[in-house]
Amino acid sequence: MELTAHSIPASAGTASETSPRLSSRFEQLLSRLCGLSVEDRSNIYQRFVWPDSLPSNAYWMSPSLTTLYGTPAWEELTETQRQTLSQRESIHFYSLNVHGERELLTEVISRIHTPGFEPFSEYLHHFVGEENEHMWYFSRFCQQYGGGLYPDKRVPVRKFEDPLAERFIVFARIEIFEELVDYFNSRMGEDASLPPIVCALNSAHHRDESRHVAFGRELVSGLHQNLRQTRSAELVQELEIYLKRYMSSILQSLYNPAVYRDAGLTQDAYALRRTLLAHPVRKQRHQDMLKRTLTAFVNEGIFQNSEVPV
Amino acid sequence: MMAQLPTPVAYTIAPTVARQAFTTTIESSPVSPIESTLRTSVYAHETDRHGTEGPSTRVSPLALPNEDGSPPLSPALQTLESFLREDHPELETIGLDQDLIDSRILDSLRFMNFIFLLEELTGNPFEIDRISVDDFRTLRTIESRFLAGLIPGGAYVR
Repeated sequence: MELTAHSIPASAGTASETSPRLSSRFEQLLSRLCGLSVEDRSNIYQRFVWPDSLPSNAYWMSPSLTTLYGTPAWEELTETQRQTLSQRESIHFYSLNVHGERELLTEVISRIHTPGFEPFSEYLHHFVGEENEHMWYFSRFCQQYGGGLYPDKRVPVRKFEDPLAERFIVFARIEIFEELVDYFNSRMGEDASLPPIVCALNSAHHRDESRHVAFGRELVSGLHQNLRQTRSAELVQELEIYLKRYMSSILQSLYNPAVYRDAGLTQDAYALRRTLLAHPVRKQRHQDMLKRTLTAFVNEGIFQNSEVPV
Repeated sequence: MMAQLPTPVAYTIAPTVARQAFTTTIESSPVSPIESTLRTSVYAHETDRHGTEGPSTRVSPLALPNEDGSPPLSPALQTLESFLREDHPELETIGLDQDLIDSRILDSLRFMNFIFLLEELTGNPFEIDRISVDDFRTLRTIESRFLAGLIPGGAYVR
């Protein structure tokens, strides 16, 4: 199902108008990223050692990354409850990855080798290949250890009629999603208390995403420069508001009532979700998760300020 | 499947149980120790922000009897209508036949929370692939599609 909303009236843009300028810096970055992707290649389907099962008396996600962490409720959980919660939260987190990467791949595939994307298509081939691999290993983790993926509760997002606005929003959403996910990957990749397969997958994802984030920031920044030069201040402001709402939305998607039920925490999982989302400790944690992206967006002039309703 | 985990709590609540649950308020429902602890903590914070009254609550005008004496909207629909107005303080009310999608009162970024609220009200989870945008076009279609059969006069309060 798709929710379509009013689009922004604007004149159609040409390919040159809706593409960022390829500065020499961006050109060098693309060349370097392509080289790194080639160097980092290995057969992903043979790279990892997948155990038949994971221990039930262990954390599968770093405790500090679970959605109850820091609240008084976390202190009341037994060790077994905390571990079970971390296991279900990990399956949910990888499910979100799979759903997000499917959306991301769809958007990139629809643009590769289209007018305006010629300079970036070489790197986008690496990007698509790596995202496909991420989907594969995260979905395998969910199926092999978690009984399957949690279903996606989101609907396709709004389309903007203005082609430059739409292009900017698509890649800004991708950037925000990848940077949030990397907050988790970078930490779990170095958490030696987690099962080795968990560390290995998160570490591999973090390496790839570092390149994707570098590419995404440059692309999004260039697109926004075009927006500022060619579109109204009202539209630019509307896009900032939309992206901040998107940030809130993906943070909220981390809190899944099905996870709380499956972890045996409560029958009233919806109320627990609401209460967690309102908790000041969790709100502060949300700010921490977004800090890197918000700082970058403010520095690039994409956001006027770093205030996000989280 | 999930051999290493405790048996998950059943996701789907039987319709009769859901309907019974619908007639109780969240505030008066038994809550788990975890939920109780969290509420105390959150309320203390909200009281700091809002003074002794805590966070304000708004009553939907649709909860009042209509001018012609006909009954007001069902409590479930009032709850959904209040939720939708949270991001649209300029709206005093949302008409039964107002297009929620075209007016962007319900957009994709709010949809997940709306679905969770609807699941909570009905006691049944939804699979996104099995529902259509037209099911959410107006409050009337939402009531017809999802709320028909719930006990009238239920006292559900968010």
